[in-house]
Amino acid sequence: MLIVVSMLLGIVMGCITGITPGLHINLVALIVVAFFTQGISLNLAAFIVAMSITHTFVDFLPSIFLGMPDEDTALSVLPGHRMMQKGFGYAAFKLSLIGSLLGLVIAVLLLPVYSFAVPKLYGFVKQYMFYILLACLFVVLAKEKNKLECLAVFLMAGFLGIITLNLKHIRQPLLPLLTGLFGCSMLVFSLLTKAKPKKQVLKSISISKKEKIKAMIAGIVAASLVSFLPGLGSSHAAVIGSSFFKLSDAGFIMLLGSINTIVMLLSFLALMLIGKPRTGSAAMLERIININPSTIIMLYIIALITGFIAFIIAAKLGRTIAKNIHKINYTKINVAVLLFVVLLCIVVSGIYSLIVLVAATSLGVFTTTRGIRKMYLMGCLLLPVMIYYWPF
Amino acid sequence: MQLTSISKLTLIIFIVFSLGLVVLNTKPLTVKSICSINNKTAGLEPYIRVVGIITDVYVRKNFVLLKINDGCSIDAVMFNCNASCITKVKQGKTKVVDVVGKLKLDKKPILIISRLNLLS
Repeated sequence: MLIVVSMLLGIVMGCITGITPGLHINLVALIVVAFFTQGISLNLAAFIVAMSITHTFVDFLPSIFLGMPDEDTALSVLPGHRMMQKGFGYAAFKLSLIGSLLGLVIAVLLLPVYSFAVPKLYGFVKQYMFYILLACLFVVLAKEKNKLECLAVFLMAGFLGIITLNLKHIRQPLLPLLTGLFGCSMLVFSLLTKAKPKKQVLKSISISKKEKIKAMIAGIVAASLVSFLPGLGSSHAAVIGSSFFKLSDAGFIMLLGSINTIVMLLSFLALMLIGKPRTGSAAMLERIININPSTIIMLYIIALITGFIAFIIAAKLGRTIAKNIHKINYTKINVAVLLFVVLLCIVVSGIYSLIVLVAATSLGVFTTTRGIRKMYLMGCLLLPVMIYYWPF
Repeated sequence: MQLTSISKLTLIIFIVFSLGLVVLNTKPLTVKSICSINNKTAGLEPYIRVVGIITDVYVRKNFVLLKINDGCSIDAVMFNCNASCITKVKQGKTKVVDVVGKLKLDKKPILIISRLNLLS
């Protein structure tokens, strides 16, 4: 009974962290684990899993409607915002939810496959990760008309990422970096071009079965590749996944939704298969419970139930926001969100983070004005990781 | 504002602020800035310079324990400090120290410093 209560509390907290920009599940998990002692570790684990899975469903809301992403939803800002500007913000969000739910179900069904394959393939994939990332970059570039410009943006973002991640003067460097590149740049661009969203259509848009299958296959494969390896996360998986097939905005958002949830779920499995936590939530779980096949199955059941509940709650939340967003002055929202971001960066990361924020925002706006896909801005994380996996 | 003007302006801003970050990277950390970072010595690489005032010195047989202060206090240890090294430490009021590593004693992080340079 207590497990059920813990799970429901986790779902509520996951909704709060998902909606609130800057509030991360790792922080909440850390506080909760620090406060509670042994004896209720299984219930705590249920809380953390439920919160983490719910967060992956809800965190597309600020990304799509406010242009305020977190690390895992950064790439959704442009297609999501584009759809919102046309009045299909709710549809975009619903697609991310469908991707998350389908991804969750497929990942649970593939549990025996992962359990067999991962220990055998882990070493091999880790050894060749540099080449895999390089190949994905080339595949994505090959489809572009302005290859040199895209590569230049990738390298500039990579340079910014390397300096920022090495900077000792700021805390949480990813906050100003990713918010600037993907979030603030979108808001600034909207302000400069005086963009206004249309009244939102509260209907889902259908995408072809073929597009759905492509998005899900790309999501499963890409998320599986990155979930067990150090230094890689949802954003890297999104770049890898998008190199497999050409997807529309709708298909891409579905891909992102699935990746987000699968990466989170597989990070719990990684604890058992390779003994390493790959997300903050998994790191907390490692501290509080003994990970073995029976606890993994229990956690997976909790995740599955959470997913279905979170889908319903998130859809209702998205509908409410979509119904009312056009009533609010969009320019004022943008300015308010920008001011909030500046304040958040100062409080969380320190005053020097504003230099990172301005540099990142300007690069993000430059990329948008040149018509280059925001994917290349992921160089800020991809290039440092490629250097990490450098085999020479 | 035209898109071409915006793209040129943003490129210039990016270059200027990136160069600012490069300059910031070379700026030495102060004790105060380390204290404001969550884990005081997290990510500190060897040879990061730390500026602060040494307020307390505890001389032991093979090492010297120090407190470096600049608005908050950080513990440091220096190994193989001979008599002249100890004299420098006692005499000095403001020091620039080179950090070569860190260790944990009783769950507290302590900087390992290799040499002291007296500021005139």
